[in-house]
Amino acid sequence: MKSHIPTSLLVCTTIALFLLAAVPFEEAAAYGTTGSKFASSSTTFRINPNFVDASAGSASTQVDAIRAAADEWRTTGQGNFAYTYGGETSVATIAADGVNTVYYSHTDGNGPLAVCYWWSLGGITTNFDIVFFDRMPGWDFIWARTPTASQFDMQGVACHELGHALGLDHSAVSGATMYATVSAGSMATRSVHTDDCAGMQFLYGNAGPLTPTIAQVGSNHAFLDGGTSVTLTGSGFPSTGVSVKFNGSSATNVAWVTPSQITCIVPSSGVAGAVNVTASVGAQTGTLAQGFTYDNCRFANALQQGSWNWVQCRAPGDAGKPFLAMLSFTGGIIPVASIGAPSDPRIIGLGYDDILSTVVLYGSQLPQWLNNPLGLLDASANTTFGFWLPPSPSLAGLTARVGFLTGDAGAPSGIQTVSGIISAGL
Amino acid sequence: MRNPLALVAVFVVLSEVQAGSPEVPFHFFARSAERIVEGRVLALEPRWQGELIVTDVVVLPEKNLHGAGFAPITLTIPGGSLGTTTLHVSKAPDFAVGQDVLLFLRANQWCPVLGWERGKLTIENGRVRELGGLPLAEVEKDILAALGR
Repeated sequence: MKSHIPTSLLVCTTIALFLLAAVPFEEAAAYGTTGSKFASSSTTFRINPNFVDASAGSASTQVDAIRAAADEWRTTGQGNFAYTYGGETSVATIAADGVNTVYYSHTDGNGPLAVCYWWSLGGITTNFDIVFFDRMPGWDFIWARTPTASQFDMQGVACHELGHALGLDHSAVSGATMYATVSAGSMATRSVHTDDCAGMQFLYGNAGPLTPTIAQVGSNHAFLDGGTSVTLTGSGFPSTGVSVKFNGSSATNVAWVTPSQITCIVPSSGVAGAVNVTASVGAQTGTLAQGFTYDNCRFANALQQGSWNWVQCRAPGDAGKPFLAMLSFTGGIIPVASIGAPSDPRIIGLGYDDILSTVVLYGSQLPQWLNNPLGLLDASANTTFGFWLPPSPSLAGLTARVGFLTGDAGAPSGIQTVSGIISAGL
Repeated sequence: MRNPLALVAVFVVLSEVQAGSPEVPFHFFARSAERIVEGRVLALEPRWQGELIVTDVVVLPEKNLHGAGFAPITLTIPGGSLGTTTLHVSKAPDFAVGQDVLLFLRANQWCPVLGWERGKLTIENGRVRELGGLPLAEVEKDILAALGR
């Protein structure tokens, strides 16, 4: 059974840290070096993802955490040295075997959270191993990918120990990754401090920033207003100094997660359609062409039966012009139209896995437009309309699509579709 | 009256986890040690232990705050140098011959100094270097108080 930090401990620690500034020897200085470093500009390491705490996550989660820690030194540290991941290993011993290994030991370390061992020959580092411990007397350490206040951060501690392997000693700068101590719950040591960068560049020279790459934008659609949070996956994202643009407009709240992942808030756009996404670090820019799409329309609520469901649309350039909205339904890969005969009450829209179907009215419980689906955009090229879904028969799980056609009759500007999954009624 | 800063300072040094180590209150630290001893470092003997280099640190006890005995103690500390080969170990305490030290010890450990480098305090002219030069006497009183004495 894992123990937790006594409240009294936390209180005392808080008091102690508060008083820390009064103790002269704790004043900030700078990075230190250990007298050894790698001779080459890279070294390969392996990870034994054998942490046992549930909060440490799966093997792949553990690997991601340690790799992110290693990448951080090159990405943000910007020294001319990089750790290269060489795959998983089952090795869990300290040995000058030429295999640089990071692993967990289910043992009492008698104090430290983790220790780095590195061999040097005439000042040149030849091998390193990093071991994370399970506990010290009276305190079981709980390792986590995202630590709570009583857990320890695998990634941050790994980043610190990998700094030792680089040849960095403890720093007196309290915000530095190489500062000697870390608090439970803290993730601060994940991102290297300018003092750490200075130390790495002293040892290996300044290689400058990597060119960032964007492989994917998660949730790669948004309404023209922007404002949604998205995750960019790629590489070369330092913990500070990344800017992101969508079609040339700057994203806000750019936040570093790992050297291969950042989040940001999508800016608004004056045009719909696919746009380029760029990530820049200084003069280095990576572009994902057509990597994000701005939509003309969005559902303003989660689609539900027995409710009005609202659609907001905007067609820049078509202010005051007519629009036509249409509704259809499909269920998974099977279009509703294939489920039954045309008399099947679920078949509200016709068409075959497509939109732009004709709304078919039936019985007394009909899908209804709040506004006439054929209307005019306002002076700002906006419209909001709604449709009411009857509570039965069940449409749960089906996909509703709205088609939105705007522009002058005979010369439409374009067609926008937006879709959502229908949930059961209340 | 004891200097209240003394306990605070001792606590500051020992209370955080080295990064790593965890935040451990001073009294907890003192109570977890099987022996707390002041002494002088007599010798450092690095040697191979399998594929690893360890250093035998011989300490002559001069005062026991917890535990007993005045026979020389040999502490085997991971790391050391033999020829041009060095095994560096982060968190390992550094010793020097002739150094006066205050140690928190546990037997049968890979590193017998509790907290590794944080469990070794250096005494210089009656003061403890790692605690901002606090008088050793104040530190001793706090340790004994933590032990309920």
